Amino acid sequence: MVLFIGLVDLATGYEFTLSILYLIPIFLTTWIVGLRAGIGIAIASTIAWFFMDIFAGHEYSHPFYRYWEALIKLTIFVIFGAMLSRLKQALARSDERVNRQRERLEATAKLVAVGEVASMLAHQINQPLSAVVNYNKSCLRRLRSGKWEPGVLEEIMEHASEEAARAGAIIQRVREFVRKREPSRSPIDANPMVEDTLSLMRGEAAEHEIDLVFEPASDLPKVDADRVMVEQVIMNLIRNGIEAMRDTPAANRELRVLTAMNDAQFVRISVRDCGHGISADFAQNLFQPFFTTRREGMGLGLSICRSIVEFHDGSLWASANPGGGSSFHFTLPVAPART
Amino acid sequence: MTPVVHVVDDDPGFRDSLRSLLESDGLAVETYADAAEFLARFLPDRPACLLLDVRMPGMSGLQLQEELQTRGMRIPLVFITAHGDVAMAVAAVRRGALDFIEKPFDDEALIGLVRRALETDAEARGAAQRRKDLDARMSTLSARELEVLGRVVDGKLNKIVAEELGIAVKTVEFHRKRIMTKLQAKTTAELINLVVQDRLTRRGH
Repeated sequence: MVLFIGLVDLATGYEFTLSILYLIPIFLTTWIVGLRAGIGIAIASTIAWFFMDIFAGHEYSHPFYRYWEALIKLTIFVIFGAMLSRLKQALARSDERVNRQRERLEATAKLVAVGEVASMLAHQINQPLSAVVNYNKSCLRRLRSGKWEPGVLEEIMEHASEEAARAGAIIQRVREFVRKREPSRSPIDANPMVEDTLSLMRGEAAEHEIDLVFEPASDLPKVDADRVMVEQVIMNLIRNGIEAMRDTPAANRELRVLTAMNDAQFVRISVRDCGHGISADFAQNLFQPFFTTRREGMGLGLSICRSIVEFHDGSLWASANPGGGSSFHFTLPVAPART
Repeated sequence: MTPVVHVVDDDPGFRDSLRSLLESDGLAVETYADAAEFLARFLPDRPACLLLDVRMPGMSGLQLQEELQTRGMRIPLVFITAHGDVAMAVAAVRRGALDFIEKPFDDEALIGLVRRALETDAEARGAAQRRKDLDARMSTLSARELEVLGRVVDGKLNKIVAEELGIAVKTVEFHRKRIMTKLQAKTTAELINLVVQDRLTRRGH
């Protein structure tokens, strides 16, 4: 292609400067193969132009100017190539960002779905349970009134058992539904993952006048985790921390996220707040589903977090800070070394 | 006629358990799977109350309430709600439902509520019956008798009434007697009371 352009340039003569067309193969190569190949083509184009120029017999007032012109052409070609390469990288990055954003949305949607399932479940189980209560009361009232026949009572109790079994069947269905979701784990670096999550939470933290500080440990091995799920855990713990510091003086509101080796097999991620801490009677129920100290909220956050962490074979626990506030820690297994 | 409790709920198990519970207290129960079935089978002449599930496929409990109101069917309504439907139930009560009860419920509370609903219905039916009787009696009065009655109720003396209508006092006295017999009133006070009631109910409609 370079040669072809050179020949056309030669044929059309001095009046048409077609050397700008060399940019086409340079662009194509840079876009498809990469910057290095693009630079190669730029050099080839310059050489082609140089010889075609000699063939065309263009006169210069000084022979040096031919070299000078070639140099300028080369520089322009390379600059254009480099700019195109940067543009391509930026596009790729923003694509990746969009994908990540979508993944996060999906994860959030999943959590919302969990909430909906819980509420639907409550409604569906309420039906048969209410029926069981009614049948039992019906039996009791008949027994107490003294006017009853064994056959009638037997039939009512039969119905009550059926309804109880129905409640059981509903729970079984939900179990199967939950089991179907298969997350995917892969070796990932904990620090950039935490950093990315923090960048997402900075806005929310700033709104509450909270300093969000990251203290990464160096030389952490990769962990074996489902990135989207673990990010949800970190976000949830940070939100809890923000909530816990609601009544802390603004000057002391600091939320610290730390990574460290827990032992040889696990990396530990900790979220430390300076909030009101956890009272002893709450500590027991902290991870129970539907336990909450807030008015809004289902009380599913920490119990879902724990499920996610335990799915990764890690553990999630809370501790009190010596200087006040509380810390939540969870561990993720170190990814097995590739063999 | 013995009163009946109508139960509309889409859940067959729950519906049947309600029947069992209400029957244990000696109540007559009719059950329906949905609003349409109720509208098709319901006999408005029988004293009754209605236990209605708020959430149902097809016509919801609230829609049925509206439908009954447009059809002019007056029946005391008790809504059955699940947790989280309380806002809906409050709306229903505001639109004239007697009350709502959240399931699972206490049997005593439910039966108490049903009894109260049946009493409300009985009272409403009694009032409607009295109104109907009064209407029938009022309709037997002649035009002249109505003129006399109006003036008597306004507290005018027979002499004034006679002057205003241009008739003899004796004739006015005669009309008064006939009015009292027709309306089955023993005293003038009773007569006035009947007419006031009649005017009140007429204004109410």
